[in-house]
Amino acid sequence: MAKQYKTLGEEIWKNRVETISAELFIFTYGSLVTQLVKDYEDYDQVNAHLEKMGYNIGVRLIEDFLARSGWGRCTDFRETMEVVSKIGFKMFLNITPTVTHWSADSKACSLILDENPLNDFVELPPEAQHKLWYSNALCGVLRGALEMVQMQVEAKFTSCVLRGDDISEIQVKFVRHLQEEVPDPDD
Amino acid sequence: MILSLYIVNKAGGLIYQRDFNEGLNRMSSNDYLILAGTFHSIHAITSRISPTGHSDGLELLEAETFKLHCFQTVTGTKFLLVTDPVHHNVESALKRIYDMYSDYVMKNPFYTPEMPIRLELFDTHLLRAIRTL
Amino acid sequence: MSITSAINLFRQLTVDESQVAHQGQPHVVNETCLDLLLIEMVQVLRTSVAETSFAVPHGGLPPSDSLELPQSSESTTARSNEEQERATELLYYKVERVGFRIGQRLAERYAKDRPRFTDTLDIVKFICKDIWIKLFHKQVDNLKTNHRGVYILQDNKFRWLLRMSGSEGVAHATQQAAPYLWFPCGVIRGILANLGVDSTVSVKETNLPQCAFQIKINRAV
Repeated sequence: MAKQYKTLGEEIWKNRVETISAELFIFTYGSLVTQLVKDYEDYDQVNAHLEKMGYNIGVRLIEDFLARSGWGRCTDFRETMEVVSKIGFKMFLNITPTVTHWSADSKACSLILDENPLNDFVELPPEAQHKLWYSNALCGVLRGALEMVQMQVEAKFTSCVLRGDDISEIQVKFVRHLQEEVPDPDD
Repeated sequence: MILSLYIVNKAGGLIYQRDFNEGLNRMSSNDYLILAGTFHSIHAITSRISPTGHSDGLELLEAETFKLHCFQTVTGTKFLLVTDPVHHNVESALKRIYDMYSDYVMKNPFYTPEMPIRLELFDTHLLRAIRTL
Repeated sequence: MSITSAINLFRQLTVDESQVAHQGQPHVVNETCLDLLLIEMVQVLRTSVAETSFAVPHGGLPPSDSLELPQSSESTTARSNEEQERATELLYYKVERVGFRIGQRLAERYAKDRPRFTDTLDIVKFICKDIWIKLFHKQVDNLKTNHRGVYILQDNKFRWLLRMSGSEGVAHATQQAAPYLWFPCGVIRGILANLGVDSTVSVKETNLPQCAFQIKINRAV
């Protein structure tokens, strides 16, 4: 099964995606983070705003994902995360994080980002190293995109190479399925 | 022949309606809203009454003078395409429309998700695509 | 945290260029990533203006819960108009700054392997051609100059405007698009600054998706 996602992800990346120089994207993100750090002078707030921004991106990005990949509904959270990694991350950032550390009830797992283009060129100043989750927007994108397909999740970084950790890891927890809104017939 | 397109948001609100041919019968804008809401409810019911497991609900409504094709995206947005009874190739038309929606609606900074779509570029591109189909 | 260390964050962002050589392949991402980032960047900076610049009363005004007579609606409007203008100005400043930093870094990356620039025109041409191709896969359509330090760069299909539209005509949409154009203005100014040219960059005119940027040289190399 996993192989099928990988093949599709690669096919989409090769044939159905318009690309731009990663530098411009990476620099833009970095410059924006810098601006937010200056504005708020508080890393917790910056983390929160990056996540919120990511959420808003996710809400829009999911339609592009679905339209371009032609992917339908996933059967469960496990399949969803495989698709997120091998098709989603692949078609937008050209990376495929490893999905691992599944909990016994299959409701939580981790994405290990062996590569993360956002991190390229970046080195955090010492005082930011314990507080800033530089790529926190990615967590927001996951939350926003999955919420749009009726899956409420919590996503957070638990380690990041920019902080001196060995790996960058996003923990994703499935919270619940959101019901589609059905209007009250008496309305 | 493709006659009209409706886009219905997740909550059953009509956010887009457009005819592609001159001289089609029009309803009042209120009737369009009611139609969209009603369709939304019926769609929800049809996806639940499936006796043999999960169903994506109503996909095609056939009448003597027209067909109404419904494509619901995984996010819950519905594209309703009204065609003449013999029209085929609906799937590729819907695919094109979804592409344009993701490009010219969702990637437009002035558009707020779930709100009515009043975007000239989307109209232009849609019209051009429908004509060439 | 102090401002200086915030600036430092950016300085250090430039450090290690060697990381980028990903198996010698030019590193690319899906264009949509940038499209959506630009949309939300303006939003998040707008929030930042509201939260960080207007949260506390400035200019030594008394706290609002001190005795205050109800104001006539006229003066309230006047004040909110003034605040509106100030907010727009601050948003402009922030968006332009974000672009400026990127311009500086783009110049660093793309200008280092080429022969030295002979004059300002040479640098402007470098922007119109090399930089534009890197960023937008095309050249600037038209470059004009009065030979006294003013350059007009016209792009007839500016990539970042291609998907912008509204319902009230091109003129209105163009007006709405303004904040998104302060960003490329900043990028252009940043590139020039990094190459030793002090300039003022503004949008000369737009008519979606066409856009003309005006560069006014304040001090040449």
